[in-house]
Amino acid sequence: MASSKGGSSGSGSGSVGLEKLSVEQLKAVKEQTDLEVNLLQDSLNNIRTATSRLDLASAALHDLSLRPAGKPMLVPLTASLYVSGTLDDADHVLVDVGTGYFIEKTMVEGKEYCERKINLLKSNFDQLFESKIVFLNLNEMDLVDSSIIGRSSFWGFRGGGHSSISPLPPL
Amino acid sequence: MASSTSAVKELQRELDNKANDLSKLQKDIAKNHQVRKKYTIQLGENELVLKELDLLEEDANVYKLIGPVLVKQDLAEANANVHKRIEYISAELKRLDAALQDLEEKQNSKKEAVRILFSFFASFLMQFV
Repeated sequence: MASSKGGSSGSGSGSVGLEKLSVEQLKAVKEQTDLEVNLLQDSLNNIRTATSRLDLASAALHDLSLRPAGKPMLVPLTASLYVSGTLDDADHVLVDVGTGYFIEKTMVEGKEYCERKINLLKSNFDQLFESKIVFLNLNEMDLVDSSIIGRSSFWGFRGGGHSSISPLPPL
Repeated sequence: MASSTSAVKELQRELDNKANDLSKLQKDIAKNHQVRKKYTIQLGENELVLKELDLLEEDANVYKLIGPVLVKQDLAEANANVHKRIEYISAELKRLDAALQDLEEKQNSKKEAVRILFSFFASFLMQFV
């Protein structure tokens, strides 16, 4: 989902002829790649948080399955207010599957659900990670950086900095 | 000389108008992208829910969160609801795609128009240099 838009231009033009591009074009290519990498990094972070939350849920289920029914417990109403209660049904849990739907599952099914989601996220993570590696393709970035610097000193201003020439509209 | 300055002003106004139109189109395109992103996310979520519902037995208990309450719902009904929603979102995405294509075509023609007008403007100004 992350690489749906504008993903082809960066890597496509990268190998063709970076040497032939102008400084402005090189900067544009670099910006585009940076943007893409940042987007992928964000997605990776999101997946990581989601995975850790599912891990937490799975651990909580495991914890709950160890307790016998009728066990007294404290139920959190708010972060700081607890009321006492007893564990009535230790075998069934409600699972939030998204878009407002909850499904009643047994403890085992609930754990399976967590496992399934974690596996799904893991495969997504791997996929994203691969595409990030492709984008990051350090050689290309280095090439962009060094050719900007090289070209810039040729043009007489400092590499990578804000240039004083503004792009002229094509006539 | 007076007529030429008024002509310059006229040209400038026209150029401004065209540029404004162009930026309006670009804003519309950005908005379209945003809405589409939202729908794509929703579509993904709904498809995940559908996959979960498909895995369930016939007699499974399904609840729908309505406001703060959980309301019990038939599995068949929930299934139908999710299907309907996916259909709706897909249709909406298709509509957005068509709108985007239309906008992009308009944008390209506007860009071309601005470019032509600008070069004309520039060559017009050149006469007085």
